[in-house]
Amino acid sequence: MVFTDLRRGTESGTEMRRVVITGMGVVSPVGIGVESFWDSLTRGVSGIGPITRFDASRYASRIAGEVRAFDPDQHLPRRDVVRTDLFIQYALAAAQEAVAAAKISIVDRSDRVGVSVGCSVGGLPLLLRSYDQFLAEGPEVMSPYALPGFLPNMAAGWVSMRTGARGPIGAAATACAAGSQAIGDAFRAIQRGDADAMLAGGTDALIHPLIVTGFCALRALSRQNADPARASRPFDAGRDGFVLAEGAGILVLEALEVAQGRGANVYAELVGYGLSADAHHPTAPSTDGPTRAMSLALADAGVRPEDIDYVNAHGTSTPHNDANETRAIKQAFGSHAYRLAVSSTKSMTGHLIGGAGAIEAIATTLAIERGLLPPTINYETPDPECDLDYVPNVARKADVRVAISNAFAFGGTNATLVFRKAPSAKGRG
Amino acid sequence: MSLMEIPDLEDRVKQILTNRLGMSAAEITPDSRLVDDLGMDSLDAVELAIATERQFGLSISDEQVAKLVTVADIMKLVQQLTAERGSA
Repeated sequence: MVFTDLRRGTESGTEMRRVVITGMGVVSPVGIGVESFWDSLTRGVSGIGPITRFDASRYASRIAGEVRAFDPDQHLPRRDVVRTDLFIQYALAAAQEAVAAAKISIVDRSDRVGVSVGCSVGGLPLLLRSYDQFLAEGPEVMSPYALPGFLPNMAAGWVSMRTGARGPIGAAATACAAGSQAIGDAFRAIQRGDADAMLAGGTDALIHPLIVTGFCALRALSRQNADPARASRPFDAGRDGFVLAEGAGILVLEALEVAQGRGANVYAELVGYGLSADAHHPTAPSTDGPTRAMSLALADAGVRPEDIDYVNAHGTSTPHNDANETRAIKQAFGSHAYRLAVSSTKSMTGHLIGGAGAIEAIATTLAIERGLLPPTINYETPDPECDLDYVPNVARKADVRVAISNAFAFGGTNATLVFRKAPSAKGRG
Repeated sequence: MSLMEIPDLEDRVKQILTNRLGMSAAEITPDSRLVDDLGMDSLDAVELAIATERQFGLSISDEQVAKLVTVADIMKLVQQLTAERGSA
């Protein structure tokens, strides 16, 4: 098959190509691997615990969603491990799982398969270790592995190198929206015909003193250190900040025709993407920006607000975000907001920063595929400002036809992705 | 020039190749070729030089690194530079 023949024009009157999800991979605080991740999310298991990566006793927030029992040697050759910081290793492990699940052969058409993996700052821990060593011992000891090991685009670069994907490549660096934007970028690349498949997602591994103290200075992190599993409580009146976490999610996105042509299993269809800027404040959210991201995404998908059954919220558990996101959902959805199910899986995973949008895209895809909504755990005391249905504490069976996933970031970046039930085997979804 | 005995030389060189460059210990013999057998690339060559300098307290030039073909060549270079240092 000549894949480029499938390309359709994007001029008015011609259709963009449809994009489906055919593979997924996860490294997260609630599980390594999609099944373990989903099992935790639907059982309401928290991945938050005391910080063990370093001595956090002097910090206001001493808890995090650390990825437990990640042995890079199980996923990567040692030659790759010594050259990469953790954020790259997480992305490679997730990509490996996603490619295996998709049963996609990349070598056969490597120039038509691209990579889009976002993150916030890249390998900051390796960067700072290198700088400490440089300060202590001078320039002669700088390892040549250091710089290529921490650059933010190197997660995408390594995924490309290790899978052989030679198509379009990119690395959104839009903080907490990076994973969603990377998926949105990949979606557009396939729609336009620049690629037939994209390995897309996000990663971050930032449980480091400088990042924890930086977020503490912003008063952004939860201080509920005594009871880590209950610290991330999105939309609850007792929420007091987000819980920093780490990990990666990678999805295999594929043009519908190509996926059907090779008989691939399709989890769901990605049908819309909306992106907006707040033009407001470095860290404080606006209501207008997230509202427009959602409305633009629905319009892009060609669906009405009342078609949406489920919102996987950005839901960070900060006082500001959750009230603001609730307002934005009400503005974007009108009266339908009260009929929507809204949940924040960050209540269990914590906030993976650049990885968040990616693992949440996967959670949203699975909610559609399996007809089960992951809950918002630790929801105990309603907040008058947050008055929607947050799927409190227990997973709920639901027929989800269309769902959205939100990601909002410092810098005023707002990204919304729209997912729909997979087309039937005959391709008429 | 008589080369001095350096304790555990082979093991220490092997450890650099395994711990720092991530090469597989099982594949490393004195005859192993760094590029053709062990997959050494340009980044590894610099890492090898830095690690060897620190391990043995030597200074190694880029030209000397470029001439290394086998694991045994690293050992010989260490012996040679150690001897030169001793006689300097």
